[in-house]
Amino acid sequence: MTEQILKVRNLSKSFPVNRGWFGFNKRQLRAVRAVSLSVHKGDTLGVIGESGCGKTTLARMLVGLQSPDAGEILIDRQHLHMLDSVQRGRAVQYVFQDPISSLNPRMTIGKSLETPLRCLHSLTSAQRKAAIIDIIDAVKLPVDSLARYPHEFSGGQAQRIAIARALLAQSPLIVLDEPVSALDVSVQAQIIELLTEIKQKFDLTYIFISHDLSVIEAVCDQIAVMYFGEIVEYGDCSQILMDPKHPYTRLLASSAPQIGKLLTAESGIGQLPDPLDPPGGCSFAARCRYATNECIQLPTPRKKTGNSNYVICHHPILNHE
Amino acid sequence: MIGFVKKVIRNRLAGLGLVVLFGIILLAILTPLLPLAPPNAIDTPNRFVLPFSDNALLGTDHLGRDLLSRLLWGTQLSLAVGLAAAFIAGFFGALLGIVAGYMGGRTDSLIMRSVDILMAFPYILLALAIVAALGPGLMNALIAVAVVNIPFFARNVRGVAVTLAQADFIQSARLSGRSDISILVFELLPNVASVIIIAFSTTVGWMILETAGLSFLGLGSQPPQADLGSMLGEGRAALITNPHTSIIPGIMIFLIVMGINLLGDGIRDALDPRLAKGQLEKPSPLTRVSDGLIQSPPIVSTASKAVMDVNHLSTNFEVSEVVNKAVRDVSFSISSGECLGLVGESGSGKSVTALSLTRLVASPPGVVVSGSVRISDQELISLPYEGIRAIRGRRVAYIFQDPLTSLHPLHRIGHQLTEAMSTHSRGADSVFVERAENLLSEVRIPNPERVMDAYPHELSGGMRQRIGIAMALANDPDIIIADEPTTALDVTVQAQILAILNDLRQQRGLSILFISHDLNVMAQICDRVAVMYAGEIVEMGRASDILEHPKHPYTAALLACSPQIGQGRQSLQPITGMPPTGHEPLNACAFANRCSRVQPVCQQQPVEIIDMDSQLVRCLFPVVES
Repeated sequence: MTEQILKVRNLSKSFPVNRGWFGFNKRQLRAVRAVSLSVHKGDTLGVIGESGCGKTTLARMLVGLQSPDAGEILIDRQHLHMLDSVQRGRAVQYVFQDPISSLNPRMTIGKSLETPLRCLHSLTSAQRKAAIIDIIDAVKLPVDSLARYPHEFSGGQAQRIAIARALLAQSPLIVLDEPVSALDVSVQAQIIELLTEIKQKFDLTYIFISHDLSVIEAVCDQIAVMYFGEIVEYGDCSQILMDPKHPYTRLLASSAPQIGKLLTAESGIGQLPDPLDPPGGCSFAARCRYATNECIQLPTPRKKTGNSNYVICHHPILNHE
Repeated sequence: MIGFVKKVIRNRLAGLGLVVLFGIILLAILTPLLPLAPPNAIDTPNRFVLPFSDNALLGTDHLGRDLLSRLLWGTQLSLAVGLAAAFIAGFFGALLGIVAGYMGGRTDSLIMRSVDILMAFPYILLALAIVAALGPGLMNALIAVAVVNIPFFARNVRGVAVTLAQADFIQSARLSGRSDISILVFELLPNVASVIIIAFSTTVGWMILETAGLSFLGLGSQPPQADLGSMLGEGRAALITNPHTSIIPGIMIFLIVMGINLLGDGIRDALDPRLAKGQLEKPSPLTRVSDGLIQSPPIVSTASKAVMDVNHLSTNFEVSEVVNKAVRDVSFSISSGECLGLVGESGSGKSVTALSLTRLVASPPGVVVSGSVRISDQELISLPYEGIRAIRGRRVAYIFQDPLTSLHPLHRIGHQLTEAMSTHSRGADSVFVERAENLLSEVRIPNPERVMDAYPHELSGGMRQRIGIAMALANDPDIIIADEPTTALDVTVQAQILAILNDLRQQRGLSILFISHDLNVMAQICDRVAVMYAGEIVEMGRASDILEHPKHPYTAALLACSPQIGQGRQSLQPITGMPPTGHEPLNACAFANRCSRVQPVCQQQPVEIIDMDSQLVRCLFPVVES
């Protein structure tokens, strides 16, 4: 087994919310609670969940854009919070959902791409130029892109530029936050193909965050299913999607539209619990048709469901129905 | 730079301001070279000489000093002091604003509260207090005026910096290893520069006035040195007897400040992205129809039982001379209780088609150039505004991607629902309220009474889309046009919304035109599907036929590159290249450049749509399954 490149233990994050006059009565809005996971070198971990499940907060903590309230992040056995910004940038990079907004509108692409080389690797101007030409070629952009500004590019091209910038930082780990959800289907396929290609070429490890189960399935080795700030099911991607053990994973899988299969919609409203007042027991209990009293009252246990697979549920669906 | 100047003087008044200001600045620069009398030479016997006299063009003041000479030297001084004050205020104000906005938290509070305190004093009192503390003199007046104006810059710049500090590109610069100072200078500053320039150009005039004000009160320039304010002050004593001594510097102040303000307005217009070309123009409530079309409305009665019949519809976007053909010759019909899907990628023309049906495309730049849209024999394209209004919402209703943008944020849900009903029918309020509550339960909203009292922002995305559907149903329309109604929603919510739409169709016999980019969603709800590419329908037929046995290579390619659940790790086959822009006429198959089945003949002529086993296909070499 290859070595772990990322290890996350008990990561939690809440945001203070001002309620009432003059911000007295401060309350905590729970975003991520007690998330633990690990990723092996060369793997792709998919993080899936619906809006409000905390996947973006988790991603931003993994690259140090947000600091956790509790828990620790180890990248290559180093604590992320001990690294300075240069070491951090060399250890892990991030690709944003909206590629155009992740590029400075007043800066040419060439300038934007130079930044990581100058600030993270202190290369000379000639070295920078050579490295950029190489990468521009790897992400299949024309060389004349360098003199142009972000607004001159389509979404797909801009995402290539953003990927190129992450590559130039030469970090072995890249967090991709919904990298294809703003793109058209045909462009989405191009970017997924590109990501697969450069992963092999540069020996990368990905954390791939998405709300789209079919995209996750197409690219990931492992999957972490998040619901209301917690990982509810984790393990081998194809095993879990073939046979989801957590009722929520099953709901997600059955809600995704497919050609040739008619959906059955969830009854009820299907809303998340109030993040300002999270329930004591299982957060999914209110929507779950297997829920019993213990789900509502007791903390939810973690159960092993396979080699490295686990589920956090009182009543996982263990037999094929 | 030249382009920018052109943009500024497109505003005529700004051009005038520029000319006046340029002239005055030129005079001020040339002052030392001009053959002028010494400005401070006293010649008491010749005091109060009137303008246009032999030795003094603009006359003399109460000490017999030459007014023209004093005016020009004074202008030079006033301009220099005003500009210097503006630069100082701009520099420190912008610095404080950027730092406060970028750092946030305590730093922000500390800086901005100090600025607020500064702003709480009436500016002239504050300036007076500063001059009183420092002592009179031009330098001190300059400092006072600069300090008084710092808050204006700080607040303007901070507002923009706060939003930018959270922007993705600032975060990615941080991840690229930039330090805070480097981010401030290289990433943030270029993006707030336009705000600083706008603030600068609109306040310079004001600061010249303030400096003149202090000098007028005797706190600025000290005698005998002339600046415009002190000249006014000195002339005041003789205002009635010799008005020219005050009027001349007064006119100069007026010209300078007016010139600067006019120019400042022009600069603001040129730099402010919100005022960029044409956006302030109010679009007409109805898409313009090109002239030739309106004269010959096609009145053909169709025997079909179609609820909506669209024939040869084409819509262009026309910006000055550039014509973008967004919708090209689109024809389809929807029968009662049927759901027709319109699928395509961004730029394929599907939304413009949907909006063209009731002429909702913003005009300018949208123009309907050909075609007809009939709803049970009523032609919509040639209908006047009042007629269209009676159709919109009543016969044809829309559901949009994000109902938050189409719901009024300040009105309760119940009010908006009943208002939608009362525009098309008369009745008692209680009847409308009851109908609204019934509608809400029809879209499966639990306890409708409570939701009637809620505001849009209090509801989740899924609930808002249910409201959106209820709004569309308010007047019991014949057809609903749903433009990406589930794209912004989570999959579990999407499944629910699709189920609601499907039920409505069966229960009410409602026709739906369902627009989406997602073929998998299409498969859930549509009876028939039309695939759009580059403004044209390239394939149309029964949903199961098209999604499972596509005949057009584009449909096939689109299906091959969308990942499917249950297929495990898979490599997708991307479509290479880009779709054509709508600027040129199509003299070939629009998809030819990206098609894997392309033959030379595909590039030579436009391709007609043909009927193949009850499936319409616009292709010379369609995919035939063996």
